[in-house]
Amino acid sequence: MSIPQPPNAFLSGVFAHFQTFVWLRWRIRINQLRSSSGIGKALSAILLVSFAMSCVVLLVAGFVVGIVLPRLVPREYYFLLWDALIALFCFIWMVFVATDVQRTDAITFDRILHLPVSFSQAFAINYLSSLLNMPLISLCAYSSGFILGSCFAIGPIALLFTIPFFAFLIAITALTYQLQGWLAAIMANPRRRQLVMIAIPLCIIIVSQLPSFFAVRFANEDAKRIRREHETRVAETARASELQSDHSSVVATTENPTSEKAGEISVKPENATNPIDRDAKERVEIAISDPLSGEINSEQRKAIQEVEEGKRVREHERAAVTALWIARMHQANLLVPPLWIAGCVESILAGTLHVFWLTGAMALIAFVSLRRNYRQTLRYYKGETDSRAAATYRLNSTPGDQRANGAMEAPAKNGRQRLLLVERKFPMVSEETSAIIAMTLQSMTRAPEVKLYLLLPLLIPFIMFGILQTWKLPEIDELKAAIVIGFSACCLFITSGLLGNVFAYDRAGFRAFVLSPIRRDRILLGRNLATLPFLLLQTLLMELAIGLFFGISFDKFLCAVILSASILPPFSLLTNVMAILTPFPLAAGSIQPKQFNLVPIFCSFALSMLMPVMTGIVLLPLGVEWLLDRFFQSTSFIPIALLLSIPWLLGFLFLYRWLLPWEGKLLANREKELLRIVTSKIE
Amino acid sequence: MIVIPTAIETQQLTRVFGNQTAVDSVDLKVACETFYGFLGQNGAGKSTTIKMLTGLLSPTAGTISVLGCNMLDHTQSLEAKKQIGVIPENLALFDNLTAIEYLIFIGRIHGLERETIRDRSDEMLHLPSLERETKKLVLEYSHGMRKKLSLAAALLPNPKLLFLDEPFEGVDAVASLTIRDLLSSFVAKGSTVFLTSHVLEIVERLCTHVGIIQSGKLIQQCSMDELHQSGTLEQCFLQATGADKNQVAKLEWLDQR
Repeated sequence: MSIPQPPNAFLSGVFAHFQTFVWLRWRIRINQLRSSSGIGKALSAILLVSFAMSCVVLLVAGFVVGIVLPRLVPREYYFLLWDALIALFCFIWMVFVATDVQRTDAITFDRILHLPVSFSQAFAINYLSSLLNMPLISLCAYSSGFILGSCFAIGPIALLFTIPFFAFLIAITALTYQLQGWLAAIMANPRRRQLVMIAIPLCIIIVSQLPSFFAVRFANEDAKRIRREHETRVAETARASELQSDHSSVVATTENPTSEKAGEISVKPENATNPIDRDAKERVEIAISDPLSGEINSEQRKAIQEVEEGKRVREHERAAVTALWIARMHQANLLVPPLWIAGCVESILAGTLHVFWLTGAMALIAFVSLRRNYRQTLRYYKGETDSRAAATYRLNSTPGDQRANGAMEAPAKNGRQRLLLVERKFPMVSEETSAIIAMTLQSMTRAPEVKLYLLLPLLIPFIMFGILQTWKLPEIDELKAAIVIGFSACCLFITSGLLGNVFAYDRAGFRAFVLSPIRRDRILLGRNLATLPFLLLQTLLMELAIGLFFGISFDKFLCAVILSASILPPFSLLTNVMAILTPFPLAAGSIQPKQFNLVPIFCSFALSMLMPVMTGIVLLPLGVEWLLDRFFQSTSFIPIALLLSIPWLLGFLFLYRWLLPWEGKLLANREKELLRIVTSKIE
Repeated sequence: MIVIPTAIETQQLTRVFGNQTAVDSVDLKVACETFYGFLGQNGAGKSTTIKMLTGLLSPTAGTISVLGCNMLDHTQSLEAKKQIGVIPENLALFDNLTAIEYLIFIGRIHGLERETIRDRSDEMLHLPSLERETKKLVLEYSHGMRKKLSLAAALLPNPKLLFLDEPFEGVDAVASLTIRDLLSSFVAKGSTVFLTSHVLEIVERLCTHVGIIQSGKLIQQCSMDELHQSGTLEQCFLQATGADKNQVAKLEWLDQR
């Protein structure tokens, strides 16, 4: 029978445990710092000092902004400042959470569950530790300054903002902590981990595009509405004109207070190109630039009135659109949880009761999240996460089912005689190279981090779409082709992050290459050929998308395709050198460097800067054609760039073939060091 | 016909990490067709030695000859690698391949025919009970399963010389027995095994020769028969490494309950 402890003893025990955990975290941090290199220590110190200073700067900046901005912005729009701040924070927070997908518990429960420590204590400490991160501390520093500054601008009532602000902080951190716990549970299964690793960055890209998507959608709706109103006005004007046709034009003009033409002017966003408005402007300009005339005649006066009316109506429209947006933000602040804090600010300033239920809702979210997370974490560490799989196993574990499963496996075993991908032989290469190509293809198509890298460049057109729409290009086909190639080079530049450190993705598997009895240039060739289909597909899709967008001619498109393919041999040579000379270890299933060493990352970056030079050389045939077209117009019917691009491609292939054995020797000389680097800190 | 006098021979083999000498002037000599047990305490330098012998780590000084090939010469080391199989300390597996895919890759790298690879793979997967997990990726394997797969990959090209770094660590009793039988018959057919292990009973039962390394220095190298003249392997090992089995610390507070 256990002896009940007095409350004081219990509390002192809890406090002692808390102290021990704090000490443990401190010792781990200090030991990590001690074990890092001299540069690492210096870098850590610099980062720490910079961060502390930036917090002070943010506090002061927030204070100044809090004093100045509320004076410039009307009081009823003050909440928009909070909307902007929270939107910015949410974006940074999303990126921060995505880079640290798997929960990094300050103390792994596995290591303490056998000790006489309560689970809730460890959970609480882990949660509190999760609050100590750069984005959150920065937000707190800035917001504190901003609230204090606002006190000077709008009065002590601003101090009340701290209550919803803390509710927001707890809610968002609790939700994040729950999300991380949930993801950790999912990612316990390595195959599901692959899905999560790809899904998260894609979700972030999509979510971060949502505001601009809604902005464009609402802007389109507004434009349609204005167009509808304009059409209604024009129709009314036409009816009015019909009615007034019996009256004299002078009387009609003086009696009708609304200028119909001004209405026409006002609704056109592209006002300068409107012929009616242009006509009115010209007449005003004549009136102003004709001082000798002595007085403005009636026609000129009318034109001035039309322009002024147009301005007035445009301002009115702008105000109407602004009012619409403000109304939308009011709604969003009540309906979109991350913006509830702005809703609270708005409510406090307006003296409404919304603040109570919004703050209460945020607190409730925090409470429910933490509670669910606690239970979820407890289940996870008790091994109860995969209940569905366990149920399936139980269902299948009857002898009859097992026999049925066995019967199903038998034909599958016979069917295994089909050729596997890793057994494929590729034409024009040796057996060993074929083996490496096949293995790399098989491995790459399963590794989530590699799939992510190969998918990323395909998102460029979507991200760049807005920018592309604003481009006004001169009608030079060579320039369009050069831009198409430039985009392809951009794709390759992104992929160089993968291929420039390709052996790090093998991790322990690289040992198999070191132990293998094959020539090292064949390893490089196999690796390059394995990635070739992906690179070709990437560049081709990019060329199609951008080429179609710019309406490029067929011969220039073909030329762009060949010249883009010409980049691949030197690109492969470059990434081989990067992979051999500047590798850095990567965490398992991730693209995060496992060891922050400035030198290889800097060297890798410096080498990747050769990409623009390579692209420039590849563009030479287009330059030659453009020059010949410019100075000898008679050659314009010959597709010089297209004709030159073929020997260009062959030349680069020859260069690749010539330099690859040298790179093979380099790999042979560096392979042991390379192995040490790519396997360090991960084994 | 080339006569290979020894399977492994090193002279003054040394490896220094910073200011720590992990392997200190080791002169190792392993004859062909022997089962060589390389023993030592934790951190004695066993794995570092095996890494240097297999070309995974460059020595700071000294020479290495494996099956008559100079391992410090790149071309010759490739020749040697065609004839050796290795289970390195942290294995050499690709996470995103299945067992059969990995074995096929290793077989092709060693230039084996497709059918040969298929047949041998099927047998190899069956021997250490890997056939139940053929659809799993290596990253889903337990440590013991990884060890078994590494052994299968090391044996697949039918090498003349096998380097095994702690092959029985994390392997279940049944698989361990299978592996022991397999290795014994492997040596009986004329191949050589160089093995490191902490389990002295296994070494005593399997090995024909033993080398003991202590703080980077090779302190004893002899046949098992010679060693048995002065006691069991455990006694000799404790004596050679300077550890006293009977010197158990008196933890008197353990009695205070």
